[in-house]
Amino acid sequence: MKLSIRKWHRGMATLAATTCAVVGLSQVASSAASTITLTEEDYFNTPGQISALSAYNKQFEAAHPGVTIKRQYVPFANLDTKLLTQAAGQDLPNLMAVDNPFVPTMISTGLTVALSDLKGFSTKGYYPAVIKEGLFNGKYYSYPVAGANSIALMYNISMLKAAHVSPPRTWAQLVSVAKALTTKQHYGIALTCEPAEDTTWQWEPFFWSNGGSFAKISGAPGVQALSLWKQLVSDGSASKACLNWSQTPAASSQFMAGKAAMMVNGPWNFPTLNLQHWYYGKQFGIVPVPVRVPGQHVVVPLGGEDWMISNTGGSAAEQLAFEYIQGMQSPAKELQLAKLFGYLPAKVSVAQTYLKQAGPEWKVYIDQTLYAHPRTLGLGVKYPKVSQAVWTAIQAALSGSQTVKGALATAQSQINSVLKG
Amino acid sequence: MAQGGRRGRGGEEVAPAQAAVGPAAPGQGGALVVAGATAPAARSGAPSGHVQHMTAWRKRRIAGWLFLTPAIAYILFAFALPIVYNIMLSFEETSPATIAHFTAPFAGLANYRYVLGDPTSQAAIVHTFEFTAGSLFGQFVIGFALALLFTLRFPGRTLARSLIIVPWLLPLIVTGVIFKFLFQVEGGAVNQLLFDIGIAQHPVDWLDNPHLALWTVLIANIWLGVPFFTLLLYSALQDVPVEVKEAALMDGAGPWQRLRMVIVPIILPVIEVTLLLGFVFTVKVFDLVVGLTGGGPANATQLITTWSYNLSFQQFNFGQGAALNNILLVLAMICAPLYLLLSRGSLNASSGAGK
Repeated sequence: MKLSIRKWHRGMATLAATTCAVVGLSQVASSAASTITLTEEDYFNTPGQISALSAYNKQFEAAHPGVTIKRQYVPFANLDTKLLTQAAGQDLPNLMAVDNPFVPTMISTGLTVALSDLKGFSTKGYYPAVIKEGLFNGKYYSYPVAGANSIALMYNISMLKAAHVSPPRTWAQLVSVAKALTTKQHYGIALTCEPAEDTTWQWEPFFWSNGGSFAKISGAPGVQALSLWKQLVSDGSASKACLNWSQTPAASSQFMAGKAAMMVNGPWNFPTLNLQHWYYGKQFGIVPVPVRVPGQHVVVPLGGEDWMISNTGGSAAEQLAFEYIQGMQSPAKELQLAKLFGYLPAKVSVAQTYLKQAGPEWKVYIDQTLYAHPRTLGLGVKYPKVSQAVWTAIQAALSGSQTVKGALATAQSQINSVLKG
Repeated sequence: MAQGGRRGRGGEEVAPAQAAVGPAAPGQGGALVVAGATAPAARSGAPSGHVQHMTAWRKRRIAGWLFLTPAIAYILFAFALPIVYNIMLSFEETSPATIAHFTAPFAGLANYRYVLGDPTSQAAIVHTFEFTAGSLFGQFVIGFALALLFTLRFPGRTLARSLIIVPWLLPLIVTGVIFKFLFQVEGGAVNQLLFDIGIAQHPVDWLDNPHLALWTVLIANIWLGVPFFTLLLYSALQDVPVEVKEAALMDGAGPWQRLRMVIVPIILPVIEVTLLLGFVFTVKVFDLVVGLTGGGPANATQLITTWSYNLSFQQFNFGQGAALNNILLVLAMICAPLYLLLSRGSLNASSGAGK
């Protein structure tokens, strides 16, 4: 009896305390009129990316009393769709980290802010290709998130040694080296040919470095680039199973499991490689994507995400969101974020500093960014459709449902109608 | 007479219900009902006895509608609205630029023209037919065979019967991933098995061959649908009266004759419903294809569902996606009643033959 009374007392005390706390909280909330919650959506999911963002959010909240950042993670495959749905409901988050091929589409909704209209916006020092991702009708709509990325040829050092070959620099070398590297245990190279954007992105360095342009995909540069991939598969140097492989993690895990001696991939794999005790110069090396004839510039597609702000009529939230993005553009912050994200800093000078600090595995990626090609350049909102025509052609040629020329002719007619429309 | 009787009964039923509801819920809802029910009756100036009848009847009707309201609202909101919106979308020229507005420029039949002229959409429609027909055939044959097997007594029957449900319990996307592993060119269990038995000399590219991929997806879907057919047909077989079977046996009917002339006609209504439900499940398959092939290679496994998703959410052409979806809706609406009609005919014929 006594015990139960004591329990009852304790319970009441807890209840009272909770009530006080709730009332107190709500009073604080109502008294501070400047309380603002900024909503943010992105698809970042590596431990480095998550810790980088949460540390930055805490720092930003501390510097801006009354401001709360509410981060929402959305899986990569769903973010575009989710943002469009939210746009339809006029309910976009204040801040969004948009994959760069999708930036023109978001701009076209008319619901995002032109950052170049805001005070303090500057394009100075950025790699032109990176900052131009958000350029539309003379206005800039985005800033890069933690920099940019691209792809290069990664190879397994011990497998190349065993086959007595050196890393390929031309297509002819790629074909012969891949053949030499193919054994019963592993393939020469792991390609990515699933029906998705990453297949187009993987093929773009071969196509673009060879002088190709999507408007004339059925021309010689396209036929040569697709024939190269076709040959790798028909030689048996690349598995036909690539038709179902994504770039990361499917193709990359083939490489890391020792089932493929080479792959074309990006620097976001470094943390995973290091975790498995693969280190640059010891277990793996990197060279630029091979070119058809020596002397051709390597043109890689530019990867990465961009910050965009939803239009809320010049509200305080809009201004704060801009401050949030700008805070990430200082050289020190850029360095820190790029390291945690596994990206390249988006400014030329910062990238040079980064190279000194970050190690030689970054050199190829940083050099390439000078020639990097934004996927949506000249295509804008039409890029997703063009990309689909391209990956379908790659699939058709590699699976054998069409010849290389036939597949590219189909793609050409699809791209023509996309470009006309 | 009958009407009056029903009304009277209704009054009796409603009165205690009101008594129960009245004090328990004296809120606004109750007041509203009463006011709404009595006011028009009073205006019409009908005799008081009639008014009482009317109000009781009206109250009952209104109460009925009130109870129906949530269901109607749900159906309107969850079914009618999306379908109507989908039909609207299919006549609009949509793009991300129009998404922030409820309407987009009128496109006439442009979306339908595009979809019907687009080779991939045409292929998707053909694939959907092949996939649906193949799935239903395979699921029915295997499902019925298993159901017949389970009517026999053999050790481990109960265990086997409960195990057969497992595929049905798995989420489709998981099934897709599992089959992706099974059918891999290298290291896939299926190829390994074919090697070991000695059937295949070279690895079969189940998922990477445009001529095979749809078959692979079909096999996965048949595997998925068999438990459903087995369960329903098995329970129907349980209901076939023993006397009838015995009578057939006494008349000297062989096993095939007993199946064809006795058992099938008796369970035909269940077969019909099972096939119809199977049709509905199959025609909307989406996750399985996404998990297995993503519609590839080179659109060889693209179904109406996956391609309309692609049109809407990968190419951001919501109007075209909606148009293709509506074509699916129309095809399904034509096929289902047509099928019912045909099978009803066969039912009548077979029961007539039985007599």
